[in-house]
Amino acid sequence: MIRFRTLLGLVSLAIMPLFSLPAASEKLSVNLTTHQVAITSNFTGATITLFGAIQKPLATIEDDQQVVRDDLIVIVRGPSEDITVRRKERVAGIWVNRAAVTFTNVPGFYFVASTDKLEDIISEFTLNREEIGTERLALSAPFVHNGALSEEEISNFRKAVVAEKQRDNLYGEAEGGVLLQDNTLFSMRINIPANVPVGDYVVRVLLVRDGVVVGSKSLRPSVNKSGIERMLYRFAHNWPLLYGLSAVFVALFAGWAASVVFRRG
Amino acid sequence: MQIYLPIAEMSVNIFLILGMGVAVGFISGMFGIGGGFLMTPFLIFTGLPPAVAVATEVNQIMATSASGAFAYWRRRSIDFKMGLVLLVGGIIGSVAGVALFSWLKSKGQVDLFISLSYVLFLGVIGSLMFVESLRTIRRTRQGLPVGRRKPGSHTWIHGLPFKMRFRRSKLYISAIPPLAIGAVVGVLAAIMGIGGGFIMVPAMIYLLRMPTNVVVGTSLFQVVFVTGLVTVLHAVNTQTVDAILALMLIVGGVVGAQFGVQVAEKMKSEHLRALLAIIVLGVCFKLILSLVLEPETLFTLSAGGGH
Repeated sequence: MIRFRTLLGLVSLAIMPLFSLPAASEKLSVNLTTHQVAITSNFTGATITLFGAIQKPLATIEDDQQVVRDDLIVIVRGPSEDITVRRKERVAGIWVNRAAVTFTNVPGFYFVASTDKLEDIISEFTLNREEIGTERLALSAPFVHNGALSEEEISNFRKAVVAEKQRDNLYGEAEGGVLLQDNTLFSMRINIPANVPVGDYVVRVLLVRDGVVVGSKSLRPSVNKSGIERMLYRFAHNWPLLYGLSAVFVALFAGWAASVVFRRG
Repeated sequence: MQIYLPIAEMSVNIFLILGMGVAVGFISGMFGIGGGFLMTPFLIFTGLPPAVAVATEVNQIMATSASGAFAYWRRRSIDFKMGLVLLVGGIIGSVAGVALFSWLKSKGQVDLFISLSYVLFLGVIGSLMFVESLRTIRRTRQGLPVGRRKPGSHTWIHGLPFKMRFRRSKLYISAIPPLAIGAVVGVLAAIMGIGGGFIMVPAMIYLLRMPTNVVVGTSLFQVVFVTGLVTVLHAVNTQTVDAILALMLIVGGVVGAQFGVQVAEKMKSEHLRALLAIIVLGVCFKLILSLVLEPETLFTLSAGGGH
């Protein structure tokens, strides 16, 4: 029995969330305007609004406003994938892909918003540990394809991943993007571009007081192709041979139809 | 109006794509060519991944060639036996081409290879056509006869083994040259997203000495099957055939081609060829610039490990 209890203790230690919260943790109520972003044929991007409230005992509200100020950090992470970065070099006058590095578990979408400057809210140590902020993303296990690259060069490749994703509006930061009203109500906007990767997303909301995380909440929205877009994508990837044959059939039919319609004489 | 392409995973302007389809269709109707050699670079200039551009364009060329092939079939101007020999070559070439394409894609060099093939192909064809059409224009202005080689004379081709009789073309020649021509066209279809009629028609006239009335129909017959096979191979190997994009290109292309045919009837063929040569050289020049000028960013990302 004792052994079982020890085991239980160990397990609960292991599965304890990274932010071990004090007993008197603040409760957060959070929701999104939509939990399902559907990519349809006229999809050009979407905006989701996150909104919520810090739940507090009534008696403390008045005091809180004078004494401590709460801060919020929201981290949106899209589905991860492996990314290969290639660097062009000039060879005989033309630009050719040469060195290549593969990073594993690169989030396809990453957005951080907060009520204030991140460094002013929480310690650099915690920011690094929790990968909060685009320049703190771990982008681990680089695999260098051809030849050896110095640690400094690999870090250039790592920066390139972030820079390219930022250019495509897939990575971003908004210090001051979370609006906190009366130290209780908050909201923020998440802009989703048209080239957003599909899959499951994680939205983490952290409540920070005096540099300590005192409350957190996670939401799991998803982005999916829908309607004909979804059907075609799944068809192409799950039954590629049948998809190819259908494309051939459609082309043949279109050709035949055109030859009949525009038959001369 | 934007439309989301499910395979390319990006959103494009529907009128831009339809417009390009009409424009290239117009050119292809005017000059009697497939137009893939123009459409694939145009699609790449729009920002589509080159692999998707090539695979999808092959699908469109199939539709264009099929409409032509059906028309020639009704007029009985297809040499099916010759078409089959060209097709066997085409199958070998396209399977090899798609394998090369997949290998280059895994090495991250497919985009460069597509661009380089285009620069070479467009540069050579464009220059040859330009010089030839200028010479014809000058000759006709001076009232000189336009020289043409006579068919029927013996060349090195008649010394090759494995001779076959092609009744429709009234030829008794070795199967090797048509097989080789078919294979070259198959490789080009797989790598560049073109039908290859551009190369096949002159080769059939000047190398095989086929009668001109069956040349175009037979070439279209081969192109339909080769592009069909390449479509399926790309769909299976790289999942890069975008059905929505292909459909828009087919619709635009069919409409454009009809106008092109009408305009072509009112123009002199050497003027047409000079015009086409200028278009071809223009596209070639734009591709050279993109290879030589320093790109905005030296880094490119692609999904997957490629371990």
